Amino acid sequence: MDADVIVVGAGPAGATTAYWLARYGRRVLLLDRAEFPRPKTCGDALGPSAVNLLQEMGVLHRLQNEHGDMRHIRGTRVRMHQRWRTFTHERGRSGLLVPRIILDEAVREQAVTAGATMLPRTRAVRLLRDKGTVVGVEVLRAGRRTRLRAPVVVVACGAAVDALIPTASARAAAGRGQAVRGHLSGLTGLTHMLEIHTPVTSPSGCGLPPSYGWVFPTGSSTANAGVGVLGPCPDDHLTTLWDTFVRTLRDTDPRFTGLRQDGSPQSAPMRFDFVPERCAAPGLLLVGDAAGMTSPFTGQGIGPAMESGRLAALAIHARLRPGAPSAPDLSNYIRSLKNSYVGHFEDGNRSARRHLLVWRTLHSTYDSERPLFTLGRQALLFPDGFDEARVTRVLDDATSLLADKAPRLRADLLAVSEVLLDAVRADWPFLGRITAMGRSMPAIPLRPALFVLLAGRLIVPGRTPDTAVLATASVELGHLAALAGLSVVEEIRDGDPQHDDKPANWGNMLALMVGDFLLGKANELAARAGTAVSRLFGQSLATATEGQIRHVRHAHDLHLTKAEHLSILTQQTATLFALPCKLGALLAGATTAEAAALEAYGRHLGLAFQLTEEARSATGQPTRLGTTLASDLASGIFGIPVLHVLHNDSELSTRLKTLIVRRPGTNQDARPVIRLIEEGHGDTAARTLASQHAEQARAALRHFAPGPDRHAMERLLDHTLRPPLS
Amino acid sequence: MTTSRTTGEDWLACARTRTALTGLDGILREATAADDALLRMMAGHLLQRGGKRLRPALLLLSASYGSYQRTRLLRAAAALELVHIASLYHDDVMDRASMRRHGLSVNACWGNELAALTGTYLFARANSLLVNLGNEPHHVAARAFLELCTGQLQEVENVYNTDLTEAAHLEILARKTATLFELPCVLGALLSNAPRRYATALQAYGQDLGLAFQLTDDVLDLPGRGRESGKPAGTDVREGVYCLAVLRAVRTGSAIAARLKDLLGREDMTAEQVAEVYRLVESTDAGSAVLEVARSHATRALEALQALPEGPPRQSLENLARHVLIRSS
Ligand SMILES: Cc1cc2nc3c(=O)[nH]c(=O)nc-3n(C[C@H](O)[C@H](O)[C@H](O)COP(=O)(O)OP(=O)(O)OC[C@H]3O[C@@H](n4cnc5c(N)ncnc54)[C@H](O)[C@@H]3O)c2cc1C
Repeated sequence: MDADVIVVGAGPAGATTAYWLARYGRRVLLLDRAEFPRPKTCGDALGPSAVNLLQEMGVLHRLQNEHGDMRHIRGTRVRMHQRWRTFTHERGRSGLLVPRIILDEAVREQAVTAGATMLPRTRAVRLLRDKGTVVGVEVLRAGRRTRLRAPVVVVACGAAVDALIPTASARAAAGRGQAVRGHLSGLTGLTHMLEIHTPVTSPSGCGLPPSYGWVFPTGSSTANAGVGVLGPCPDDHLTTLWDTFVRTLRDTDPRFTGLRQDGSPQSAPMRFDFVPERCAAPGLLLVGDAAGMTSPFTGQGIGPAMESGRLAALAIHARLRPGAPSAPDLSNYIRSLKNSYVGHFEDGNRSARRHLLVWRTLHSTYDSERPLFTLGRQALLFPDGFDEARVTRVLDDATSLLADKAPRLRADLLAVSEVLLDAVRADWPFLGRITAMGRSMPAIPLRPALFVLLAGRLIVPGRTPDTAVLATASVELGHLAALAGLSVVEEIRDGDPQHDDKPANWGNMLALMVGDFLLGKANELAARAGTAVSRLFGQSLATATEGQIRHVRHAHDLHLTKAEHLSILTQQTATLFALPCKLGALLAGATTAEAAALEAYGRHLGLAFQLTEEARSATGQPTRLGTTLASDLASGIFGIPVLHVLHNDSELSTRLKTLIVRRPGTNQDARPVIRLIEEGHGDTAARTLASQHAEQARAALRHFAPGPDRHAMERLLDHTLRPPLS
Repeated sequence: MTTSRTTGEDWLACARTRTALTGLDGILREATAADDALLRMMAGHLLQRGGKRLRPALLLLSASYGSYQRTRLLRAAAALELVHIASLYHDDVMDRASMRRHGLSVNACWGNELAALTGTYLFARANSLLVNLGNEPHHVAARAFLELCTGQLQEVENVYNTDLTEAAHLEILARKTATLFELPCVLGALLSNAPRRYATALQAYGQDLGLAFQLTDDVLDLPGRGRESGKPAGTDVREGVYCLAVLRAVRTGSAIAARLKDLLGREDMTAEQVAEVYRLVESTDAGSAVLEVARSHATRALEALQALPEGPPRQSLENLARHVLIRSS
């Protein structure tokens, strides 16, 4: 044996694998056909997750020592169809721009420092196999062929993997793309934000795969720029796209008027044909681009390359016994890839088709503020903003309220999440991503799961029954389905020729299909949890939908009474809080009276929540639901603050009416409305009502003996009335 | 994107089922009764226009092979009709269809948002009916509904895909259309405690019948075949939904196929190009070949029925399958 592990390719994926294995004390041979440092055609951008990985390996420190301060990135701006959207990293998190010739060398050096042996200018030409198990590689070095043997070979040779592991021809084209990159200078007005411009179209572009352009500022007047194409693309077309992109920038964006190209653009392949099951075979693991792990939406692949390297090293270290007669079982690697990358990249043969569909939807819903599309946009264009770390932190926000109950509750919440992910992963992995993000979405500020679990505990302290986990997952999927359903919109049909030209409304189509699919899943999970759960689920769905329908039909209705509005809220919103409480009670075997008390708690809490939000927006604050007074008024939604002033028969009411019929749509327009509401004490009215409902919820809890669980539920009420400052 | 039309009324040769079906409307009305007047109107919009009640009839017929309690069965039948209508509401929003059953569609009357919500509301009401039948029937139905939605998602993710294999295409059809034919047969057998072999035969019948229906409709809906469907001619091809005839024509390996490949797979087709596609498809024998496939499914449906005892219920089921045979020849 020449080593414990041979790693082919010393890019970020291979070097990270080698680093961790060396750290675990394994003998590693890291080989690369190139001499380092070597350049790599790339956009050079790293997201915050990738930066964390570098930090863990000590590479960040090395980079700082050797190259001084790096260029930090605060987020991404996306321009689609002339409209900009900005996605900013959370405070304390940022990305980096580092030329690959520097980055790759630093990671590689770190691996060598940790103890890996590096063989440069060594090309792997063939995998050595013994009865189907990979036992080493044949390499070409200074014109000589040598055979190197090890119990595990990690293939990290990037997009060039076909030379070592041919892909079945049927899938060869799917999941392949092409990108071209150049360097621009003479620019002005650049910030610390990455830019994505899409679509990039060329005259001959019809029927070709979608493409996007990027401008990543490397300094105040220079940028790394390029175009990525999400499918097979002839070279001449790539050149045309690049020329079009550069020309459009220069002609349409004043920051690029003085643009110069430094050197000629370079092109390189991209791979996003990731299939977890294909990443491990006896004696063999695939990492990074060799495993097809580039995001087809942003072109990011360095982070996943390093992360897969770390996971591969973990899997190998856990199972590799020196001198063992058979190859180690590395299937754990597949499992951890699935868990880390659900929906980031999609697995399965269908992924390339889905990407196209998702692109189509992304484009046609870019202007939409509807929840499904807001979520989808974030998930695809700015995945780093919503990583697992954040999802867990949001969990912490809620569970920290619950003090000593937290650890067990957390374990139960995670069990629910697992059921959720499993439910959608097989059919539509991308929804797994949305599901994971939905948990941290403001639109679902208090996870329904929390109520099921707490209500159950109040009846029977201790472990949550499995049916309760199923039921909880069902309720959460139901909520997501509702979000998707809320994303259906009317179409503008006023003889707009542009509209008639469009073959389909992808937004509505996807909203309905995804909504129905999630609802179907939720319904099926409920059925598994038993008749009683299903019955409640069905009733609540009908009630909430009826409420939503009344809500829509009363849009822009100046005669809506406060009582009617409250009755709509009771159906539409309060049901969503009452359901999980009642379910939790039911599954814990509560008496009828106990179940009724918990249901009342949920209902009143729901109303208190909604009324608090209405009061917040009426004073100009953004709500936890992501809406503002302006956006509400634009869609004709009048909350208690507005209705209170509208119906109080004073001169204020007349003035408010005049303002509202003009449909103020911007925050600026909404300002006079806010002043009138203040004058007429509309927000106070909403807050008073909210407190009254909170009191009723508190009263309902008195049905139960005081204790830590009841206390936790009381604290949730306080949280509802007084959300933490964000 | 669901079709299924034109069955004469006379296929239902079973008097008992015909009588039983008269009780259906009352249950449907009760199930869709909402406090809100507008919702009541929207929910009843299509129900009032009648329709063939094909699924309820299939369910009642399938229940003839065991013993049942009539109201229980009618509730299940009503639930399936409601789910069918719910799916039509959603389809019409997705397809931007303004006509349905010789009148305006719900979305044309009240807009997309309300039409979509009403569809969901009908689904919820259907579920409430099903839950009361007990856990197993409800679970069977819940699984079927999920199949239906999965099929629709698969269909839309394969738009503009001229490489879709025939097997994958048929799997999508089985999920999104045949499921709602199979389910009434399965539920009927289950709720009446029919003997196992009858239940199996009925399930196979439902599945094949559904495929036969859909495949026939898809060919007869090709423009130029003189049938009026709800949407303007050629929408499917423009939206990238290719029926089996189109997929087969692309695969004939001829000059026609090459031309089709050039035209298809893109979103920006002109009306002329769409017309050309259909002309090209018609110039091949793909249409008749697909009708042949449809007939083979209808024949298999008939064969499955052999396992059932003779009598008016079986006679009715056979009529339905024969009806497809006639339309497809
Ligand atoms: C134009 C372009 C722009 C991009 N922009 C970005 C970006 O801004 N941010 C981002 O995160 N990702 C970006 N990517 C994706 C990113 O470049 C890859 O995901 C990343 O390089 C993957 O790392 P890796 O270690 O798997 O492969 P690589 O970095 O490609 O490393 C593979 C190594 O293997 C060696 N090798 C290959 N074959 C053999 C062999 N037979 N024997 C021995 N050695 C071999 C090569 O010399 C190379 O050093 C971009 C890609 C392209 C094409």
